[in-house]
Amino acid sequence: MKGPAMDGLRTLDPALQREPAGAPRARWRRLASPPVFHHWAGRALPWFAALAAVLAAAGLFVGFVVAPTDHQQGEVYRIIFIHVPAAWMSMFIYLVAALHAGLGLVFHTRLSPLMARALAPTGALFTVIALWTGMAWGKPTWGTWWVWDARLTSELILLFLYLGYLGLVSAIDDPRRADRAGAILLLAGVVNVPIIYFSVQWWSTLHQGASISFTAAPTMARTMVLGLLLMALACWAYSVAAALARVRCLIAERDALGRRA
Amino acid sequence: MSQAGAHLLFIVAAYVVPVLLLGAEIWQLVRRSRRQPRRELADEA
Repeated sequence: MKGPAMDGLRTLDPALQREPAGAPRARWRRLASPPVFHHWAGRALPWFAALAAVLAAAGLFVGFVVAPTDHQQGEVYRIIFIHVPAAWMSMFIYLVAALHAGLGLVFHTRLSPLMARALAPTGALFTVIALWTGMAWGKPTWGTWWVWDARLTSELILLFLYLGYLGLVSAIDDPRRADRAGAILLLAGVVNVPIIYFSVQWWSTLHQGASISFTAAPTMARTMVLGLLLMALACWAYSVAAALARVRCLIAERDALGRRA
Repeated sequence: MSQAGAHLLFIVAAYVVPVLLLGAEIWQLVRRSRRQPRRELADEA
């Protein structure tokens, strides 16, 4: 972005006025500037949405048509093609939101808390999906909808952390105070993510171990792993698209709030 | 109900709820973005 339009944004954003336009730091600052990011997000959003749709279609095709029936669980194992990616995304989004919240808290960047706010509802949604699909898989395989097992309980705590964060930031009127309080809550909750991930190793749980390990060869058929990875990428692309759409709304809303003040 | 029929029911239930939830999120995001005041400067850029 160059020329008169960029000059306009430099006028709009005081952070951009302090540094020469060509400096590398200024380039990063420019991308992290809410007006510039608003524009960039608007252009990237349809691509991520289309990518999510294509990957989801491919993942579901591989998962339901190509992947073989499991010899122990039968057809019901196909729930993992939504359950595992949703569980991964619930943890990954939390870490990314906490990272943004931390950056906002330490460096006082204006975009970071907005990114944390934009990511949290989608993270909460994936947590609900992971819990629900886990229950729908647990009933026919374990014979029960729910057990107070370490993995399930820590995932439920993750949902409460998301809901607590969303409730907290919406309960405080001053956006900066709300961002700070929300960031502290998100950062404090980070400790729960390794507990979720390693719970199946640390405690004797009913929940099975990791579906895919970075250090060991996959124990399931290659087409099952392919379906799982395609669906995980689809969920990732969807999360990016949803976060970009939401952060655009948040930037415009905060801008309107600033104009009114 | 046969075991295969019961499993099919669980698979449908497992996939329908996420589709509804994600659909609701998309609908809410579309509505919210349509309500936004236009950011003339940023959009021109």
